[in-house]
Amino acid sequence: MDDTPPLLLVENIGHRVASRWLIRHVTFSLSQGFTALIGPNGAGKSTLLRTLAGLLSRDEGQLRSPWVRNARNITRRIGYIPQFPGVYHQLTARQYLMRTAFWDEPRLGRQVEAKVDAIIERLQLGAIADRRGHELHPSERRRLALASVWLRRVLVVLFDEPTAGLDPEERLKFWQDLYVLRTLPESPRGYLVTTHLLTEVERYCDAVLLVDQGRVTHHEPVAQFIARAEGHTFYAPEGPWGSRVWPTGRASGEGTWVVAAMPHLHFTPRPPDLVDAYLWVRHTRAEEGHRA
Amino acid sequence: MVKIDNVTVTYRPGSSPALSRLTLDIEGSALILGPSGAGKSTLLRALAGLVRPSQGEIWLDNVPLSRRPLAARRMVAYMPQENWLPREATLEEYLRELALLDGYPPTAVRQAVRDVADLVHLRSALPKRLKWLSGGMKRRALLAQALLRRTPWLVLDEPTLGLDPEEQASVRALVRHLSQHRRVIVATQFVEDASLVPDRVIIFRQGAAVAVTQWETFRKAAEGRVWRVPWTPAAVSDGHQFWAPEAGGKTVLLYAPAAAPEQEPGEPVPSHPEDAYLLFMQEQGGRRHG
Repeated sequence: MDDTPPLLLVENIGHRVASRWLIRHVTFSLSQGFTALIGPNGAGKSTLLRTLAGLLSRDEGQLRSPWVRNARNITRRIGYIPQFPGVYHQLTARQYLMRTAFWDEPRLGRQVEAKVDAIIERLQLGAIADRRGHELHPSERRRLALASVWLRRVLVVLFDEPTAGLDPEERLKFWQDLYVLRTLPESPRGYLVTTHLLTEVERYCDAVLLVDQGRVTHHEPVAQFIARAEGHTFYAPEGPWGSRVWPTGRASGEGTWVVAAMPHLHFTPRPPDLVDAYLWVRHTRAEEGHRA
Repeated sequence: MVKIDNVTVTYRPGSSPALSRLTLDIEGSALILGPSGAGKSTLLRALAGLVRPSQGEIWLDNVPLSRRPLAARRMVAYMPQENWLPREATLEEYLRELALLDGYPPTAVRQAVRDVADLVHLRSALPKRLKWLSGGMKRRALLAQALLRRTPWLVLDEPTLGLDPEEQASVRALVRHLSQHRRVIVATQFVEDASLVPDRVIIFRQGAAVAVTQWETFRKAAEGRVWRVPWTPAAVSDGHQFWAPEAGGKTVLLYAPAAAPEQEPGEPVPSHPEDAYLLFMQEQGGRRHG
């Protein structure tokens, strides 16, 4: 995160179905770079993305951006890529990109062609450029969607679970593409990505936005979030351990990796990572909820 | 003991085999790690008697499965990769029915169902219809049905897929515990899941078992081979370098082809188990598409 003004100011937005608010009082400012939208299943992550994209009604609150003069145009500058991006079955990848570029802004055919050629080269889409939509693998469709948001010159891209179900090599390829895209001129400046894989968040993202029960509970740089678990992470011998010790699901030769409120006899301190911080924050929050 | 003897599985005539002349012995619990399309699920389905090898034989505790596929159903409790569940049944109805089919005495069914629901933290979901459960809850419901069965083998296909981080932590802790007390075979594409059965990690690629290792060895296999260098177009140009982006975007990680290069390419970086996996797969021939 740097000193440039935030890309998007989300102010108190909410979406409801009948009288039930699925997300409410959501306020945060999205900075440049990669922000991971994390939280438990059912917390409202997808609802939040779709509300920001304008696919679901914004029933209260507003979106602003210092980068967009007319607030009514703001959703045009936001690109949304669902988990399984759609394609037109009979159009080739190149035709699809041409169509996207025209749709966004009528330009001279020559200009559009040059733009489309440029992005095909930069994202190495040459091998799929002349294949029809129905022949494309889901990961190829996602790369095509990336090319199309670049052509639309959006400010912010919202990604819904782009790496769910991908194996580690496919995930690496996805993040390589995203980082290459970001270095291109006129590329989107901010990326909000939902994922359950905290390892990739720790490696590739700048900040986390933690959502729980339709509200934002934490929004900070990854390192700052990890520091919340400082002093609470240990290698432990086999359990049971008693109360306020939670397994993190990992283990190594040194012992089982746990987060704990206090050090115990036979526990050895261990440096925290994002999984630890997430679990620590969630468990202590659940306890506060119980007390309240 | 599982004895896999020269097994080939082809789903459609003429298509490339999902498993190709696989020979492998598995004693006790094991973890199978590999990319999508490596044949992990096919092997697990074959163990559960759902897929018949087109060639070769699988022996499960000395029972030949291709000749006695129904025996597999009694010996293996299986959690599929897909969330196949009867949508209209409640979780309790579903588990009770399976318990009765498994031969629990009727007086013991209620308690058995509750115990297993507690193990996967789904006690409060018992009265809910399965169609209303979230993806993560469906996954845990499928784990519960496998745990309910009192079979000698427990075969779990991607038990943590689609789970949120808390669910991942609790399911991993549970499966690790089980793997020490029962015979469990887990297939996964998540490198961190490989710590679930630390003593036997079998790596699959393109229908074959390409390595058998241990978690402690594997997770450190990339040490000394990961280097941080500044982001330059040359560093990230595909083809001659194997690289990964790093948060912030000002640096990238380079994976060196072998330990201790003559000239250090950059600043050495502690390696992550996922680095070990990526390097290993790269050396096996790199990714198949994309």
